[in-house]
Amino acid sequence: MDTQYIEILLEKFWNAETTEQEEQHLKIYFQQPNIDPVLAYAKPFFVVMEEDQSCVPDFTESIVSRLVEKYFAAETNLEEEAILKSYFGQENVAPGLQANSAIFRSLNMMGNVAYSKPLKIQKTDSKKVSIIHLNWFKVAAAAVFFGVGGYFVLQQSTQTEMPPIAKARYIEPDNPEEALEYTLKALAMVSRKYKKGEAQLLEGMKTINNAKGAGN
Amino acid sequence: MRSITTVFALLIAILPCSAQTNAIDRFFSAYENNENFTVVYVSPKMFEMVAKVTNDSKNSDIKELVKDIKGLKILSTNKDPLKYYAEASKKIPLGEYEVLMTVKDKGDNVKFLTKGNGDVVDELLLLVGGADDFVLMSFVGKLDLNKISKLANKLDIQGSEHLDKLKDKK
Repeated sequence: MDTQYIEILLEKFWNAETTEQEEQHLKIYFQQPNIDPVLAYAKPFFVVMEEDQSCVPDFTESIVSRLVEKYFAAETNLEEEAILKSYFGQENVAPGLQANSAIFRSLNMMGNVAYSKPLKIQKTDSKKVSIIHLNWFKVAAAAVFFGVGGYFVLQQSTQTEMPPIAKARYIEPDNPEEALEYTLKALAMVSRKYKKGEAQLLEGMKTINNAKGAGN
Repeated sequence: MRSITTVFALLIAILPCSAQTNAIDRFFSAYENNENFTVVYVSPKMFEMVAKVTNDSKNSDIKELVKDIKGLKILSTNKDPLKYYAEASKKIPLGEYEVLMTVKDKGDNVKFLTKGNGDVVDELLLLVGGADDFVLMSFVGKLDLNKISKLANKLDIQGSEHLDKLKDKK
């Protein structure tokens, strides 16, 4: 790799136009010992970047080792245990933690065990049996409740809404004029009868008065 | 478990209430299945429309009378009228209605029952039972009995006019 090519790559890198492959070239160039002094200024960028990446596993290792300690002290929560399982499930376990990997791998495998045979629950536990019975009782009670409720609702709705199907001659005026005619007819009857009643009342009063007068 | 008992208790408590509110409706429905009866029903909704129609009419007396009526039900038959009259007199809950007057009119027994105080009543039941007909009318809404009786002649004419029209239509 000649200086000129690296210069062009750097130019592109500053403009954020490099491809991953080109960045790889830059890294390789700056990691080798004989760097052109003209380009030496750019070395820290690429070497630090490389160091940065190597730092990450160390960090993970310290976290995981803390978690392992917590795990053996029985202080981990489910989330932390899941992290441990997934860490030891992968390939590159840090050398310092290798000793533990067997334990967590076996835990992982245990998690994958599935029941292949149908379950047979033995109904020897009296508590469980009673719970099942209680549930059936609740279901039965609910069924009775809705049955009774539904019956009454149905009965009421038939009382209030069924008349049109009734056997009696059923007249429900469907326009205001007709409705008014029936109303007036009905009112006329009320009126006539009421007048009659009033007249009878007056007559009755007169007879009483006459009787009184006769008595005197 | 407790909640179920509570709901049951509530249901039982509610039942008689709903039954009571419809005492007179229940009375009507008892006869609606009898083919000898004629039922006329004018719904509150229809009365709203009637009020709109009468609002435009020149006849202010009729307008005044009709505008506060909220519902009308008429039950009538010409079979065994006296029997049904006696039955109705017995079945109507007298705790709820007050007997305003009983009249004998040419062999017709007439009974006025009302709900509410004074001349303007909230509900009016008219029971008529004679040799020919049995009629039960139920008016719901504000009704001024004095006004109705004063309009007797006018109503008769109006009613019969309308009746004639009705017959022509059919």
